[in-house]
Amino acid sequence: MRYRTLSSLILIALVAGCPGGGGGVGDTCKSQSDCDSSLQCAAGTCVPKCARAPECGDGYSCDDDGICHLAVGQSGDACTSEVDCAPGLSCRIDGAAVGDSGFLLASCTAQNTGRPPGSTCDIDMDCRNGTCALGHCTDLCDNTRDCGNGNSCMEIPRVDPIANGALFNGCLPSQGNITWSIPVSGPSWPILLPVPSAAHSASLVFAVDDLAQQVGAQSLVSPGGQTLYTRPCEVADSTCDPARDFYSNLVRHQPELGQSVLSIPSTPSAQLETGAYRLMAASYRPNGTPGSAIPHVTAVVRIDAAVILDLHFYFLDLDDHPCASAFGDARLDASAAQTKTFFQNDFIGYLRTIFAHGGIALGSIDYTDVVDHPDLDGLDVVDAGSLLALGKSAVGVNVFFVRTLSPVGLQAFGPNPGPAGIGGTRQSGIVIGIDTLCYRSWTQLARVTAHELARYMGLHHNVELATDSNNVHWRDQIADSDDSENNLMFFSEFGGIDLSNGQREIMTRSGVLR
Amino acid sequence: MTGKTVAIIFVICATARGETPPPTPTELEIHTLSAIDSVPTKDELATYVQGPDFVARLEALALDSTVDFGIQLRAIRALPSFCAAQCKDTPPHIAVLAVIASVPSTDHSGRALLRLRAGIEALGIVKSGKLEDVNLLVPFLDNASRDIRAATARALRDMCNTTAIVPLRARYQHEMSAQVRLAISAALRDLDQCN
Repeated sequence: MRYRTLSSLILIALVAGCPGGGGGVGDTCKSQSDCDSSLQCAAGTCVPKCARAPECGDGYSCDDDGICHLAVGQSGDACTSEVDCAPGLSCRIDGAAVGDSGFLLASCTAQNTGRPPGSTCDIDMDCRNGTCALGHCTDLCDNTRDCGNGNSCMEIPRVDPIANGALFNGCLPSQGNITWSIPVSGPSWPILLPVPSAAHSASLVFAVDDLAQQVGAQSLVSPGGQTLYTRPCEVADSTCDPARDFYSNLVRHQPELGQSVLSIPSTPSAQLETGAYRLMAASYRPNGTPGSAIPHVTAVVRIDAAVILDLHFYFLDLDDHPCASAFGDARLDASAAQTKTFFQNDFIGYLRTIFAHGGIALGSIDYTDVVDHPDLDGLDVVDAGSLLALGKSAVGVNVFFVRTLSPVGLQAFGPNPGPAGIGGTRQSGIVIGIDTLCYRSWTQLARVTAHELARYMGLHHNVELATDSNNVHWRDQIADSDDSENNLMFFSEFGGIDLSNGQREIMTRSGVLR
Repeated sequence: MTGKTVAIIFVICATARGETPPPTPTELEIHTLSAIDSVPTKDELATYVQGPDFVARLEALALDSTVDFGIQLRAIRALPSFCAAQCKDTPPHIAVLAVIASVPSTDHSGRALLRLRAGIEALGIVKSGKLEDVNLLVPFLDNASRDIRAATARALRDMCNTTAIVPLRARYQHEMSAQVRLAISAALRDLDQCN
């Protein structure tokens, strides 16, 4: 393929003609000086300069000046980048040996018949160039010019049992979410989560087929060796305080029935590290004893910063609703919501204001009617998983408006955090009860919705109603978020919309943003 | 609007009207009964609601129209938290019945329906086992609001009293709402397991 790229460039050049000196595209040349300054001399022909090595073809590098160079690395020669190896060879990690630079050693090796860079993979042999990282075929690199368009060169931990988290430099997408499945073969299973240097956040979604069993992490240790999370003890007694355990973890997480999410970081004071996070995924019986279900684990790593939040509104059947006076005594559905002032201005307008406080702009908004699930029109939260699984959008957050939410008094419901970047799971969205509009305004409902969206994105209540044994209220792990009622994350509906810098930082790392 | 502000407004309004002071909720009670995405636990209620008679206090909050409506709703729903293993004819049970009785049958406003739904849901959770409770709820299967009919079917399921099977089947025969039909089906399925 890459041979063909360079050949095509030369063919175009030949067809275009070959005038002498200061040559244009296609002119013959003997050296760089024969071509226009915007071109390079490649294989005797003036061709456009390169920006990335793949433009030059397999076995070529692209230098700072945009000139392609044929690689000379032969089979067995040491290499640090794919562009070091001659055509037909790939630069592959040798094993667990680490060089003076602290990175894994590699050498030029014959390519195999696997998939090209960027393709999904489970093991190295799935990839033409022999390296599978974060579920995708990856080229080794020295800098971003070695990588294809849309990719950047970054430090990546190698998580096979031999390398055990040692780093190499590889090409991965420059932005967005990288999502892949991590194989698990038992009810309790050790996992290495690779977090590359350009990552802004990482999360794991644990799920089991048996919804009567809990699933989640038992422990989490950072690449630097800091214990970030230990599963809270089960039954309160003289040695066990489940609430203390839960709230004292630097990464807040709780195994839940059917599915749970662990997201890093939870606080700016325990920043995301480059390297392999070590954790134990496990299933549990409802009484806390070890389970029998084998967890399905999906990893999502967020690369780069993003500030745009897409919302996907879903409307259950809200016809003939007791609170219809709040929406003009007419039917509220996907069509009406797109035109009615109360929805566009009072509700979405205030959502925009609230998220602007957090440095986040609302992006695209779409509207869908859910017409074939009357069993979910009036939702009991125990059935929320069935509804949220209808949220197919992986980018942004799915927001479901239901007629009523039970238990009565509950205004919103959703995971904390949610499975950012993954649609169609039992936690892929939040639920808003429209019955709140019998006694609250659309702007008040917007604050409720923003609160729940922020929880989905990884924030926790700034302060909880519950207290520790010293009568001090439990609170989030973010140092600069006070326990004020004015905070967006205040647990009560009588709260404000303030966010601290630390809260903004955690929220803008969420994988739901684009 | 903060919880403190809400509490102050209650006091000012009552004073201005020259009424007997209503059961003005304290700031902690407002916080306890205004959570967005959770329901208060019994421990939290017992810690932050004015005691020692928590049920009487919740009932007072639930029935006083000067109290914020969201607080009223959550107070209603909190009443069954104070049921002992057997709740029949205990103060929480009686208080829930009082809530249902407080909703005029002629009031079809959204708030009235919401209050009624809260009472029906709470009565299902109380699970007294009394035939009178079933008989109280059955007429609501014919309520004009499908939300009330669906809530009633769920409450009858929660009560686990098989005398509800006949009226549920009867309603199912001419029920037009798919939402309610499904709620009735689920109730009938679960009631079959209650013998």
